[in-house]
Amino acid sequence: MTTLTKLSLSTTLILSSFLMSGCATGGAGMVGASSNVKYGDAKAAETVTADFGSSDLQSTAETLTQSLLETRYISKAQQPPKVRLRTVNNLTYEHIDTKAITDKIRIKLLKSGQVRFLADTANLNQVSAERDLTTTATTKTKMKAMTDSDYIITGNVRSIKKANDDVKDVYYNVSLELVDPQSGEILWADEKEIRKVTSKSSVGW
Amino acid sequence: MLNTKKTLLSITVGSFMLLGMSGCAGKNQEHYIGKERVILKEHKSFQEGKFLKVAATFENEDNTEVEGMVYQVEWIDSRGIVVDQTAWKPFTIIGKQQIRVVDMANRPDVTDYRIIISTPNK
Repeated sequence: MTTLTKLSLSTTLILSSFLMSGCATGGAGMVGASSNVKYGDAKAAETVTADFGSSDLQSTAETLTQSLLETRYISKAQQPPKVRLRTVNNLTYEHIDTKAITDKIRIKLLKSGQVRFLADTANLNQVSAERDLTTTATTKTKMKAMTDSDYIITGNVRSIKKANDDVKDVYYNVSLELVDPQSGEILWADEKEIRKVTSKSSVGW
Repeated sequence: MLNTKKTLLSITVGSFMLLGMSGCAGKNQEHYIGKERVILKEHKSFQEGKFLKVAATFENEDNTEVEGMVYQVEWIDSRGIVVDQTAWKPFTIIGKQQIRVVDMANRPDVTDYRIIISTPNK
C-alpha cells in the first residue's frame, strides 16, 4: 500500500468517525439534541400543577416591586434609602422558598436604582468577618453604617385550599410590608393574590 | 409670505411633537401570536416618576367562547433595544369580558414598549 493510499484511508476514517459522533450528539454547539430535554421560555406561564410555581414567583415579584417603587418613601426619597430584607413567613401547607420571592424583588429594585440594600441578617456575620480581615480597627461608626437600615421588608405567604371530587381551588396571598425599624411604623403594605383552579373535566385550557 | 410658511411649518412640527408626547399607541406596539381570539382593545403609556407605565385593555369579542390567553410586555430603551420583559401573564376571559391591566417598567432607561398576546391553539 502506498503512502498516499494509507494517508487517504486514515483521513476517511477520522472524518467518518467525526461525522458519526456528530450524528449522535446533534449539531454544532449542542449535546444530546435528540433527547427529550428541551429548553423553554423561563418566563412562560407554567400550569403543570396548582402548586406555587415559577409564574407565581415572577408575577408576585413584578407586582410588589411596582407597588414598592410607587410608594413615596422610595420614589420621593432624597437619596435611595437603605433597605434590609427580613424573613417572609410561609404560612401555607406546602414548601415555598420565600427567599426566592424577596431575592427577586431585591434584584428588580436594585436594577431600578431607587433603593440600596444591606446584607441580610443571616449573612451579617460573614460580612462582619470579612471586614475584620480587611480592617485593623472597626470603628463604631462603620458598624453603624453596616447595621442601620432606613427600612426593613417583611411579609407572609398564605394559602387557602378547597377541593371536591371535580374541582380543586387554591388561593395564594403574598403580602409584604415596609417598616421603619426605628419607630416600628408600617409605611407601606401591599399584596398579590393568585387563584388557581384545577378541573378534572375538559373545561378550560 | 416667508413668515406665513415659517408659521405653518412650526405649527406642523408642533403638532407632530404633541402627538408624540401624548403617548399614542402605535400598531407596532402590539403583536399577536396565534389567532386573534382575544384582542388588545386599547393601550397607552405614561410616565410614573422615573418609570414608564402601560395600561392595556384586552377583550374577548366572542359571546360564548371562554378564551385562555397570555400576554407579555417588552420594555424597550431609546436605542430600540429590548432591555427587559415581564413574565407571561395568563388570563381566562369569558365572552364579551374586558380585562384591564397595568404594568410598570422597573428600569428608568425604558422609553417604549410592545405588548405580545398569545392564544393557544384549540
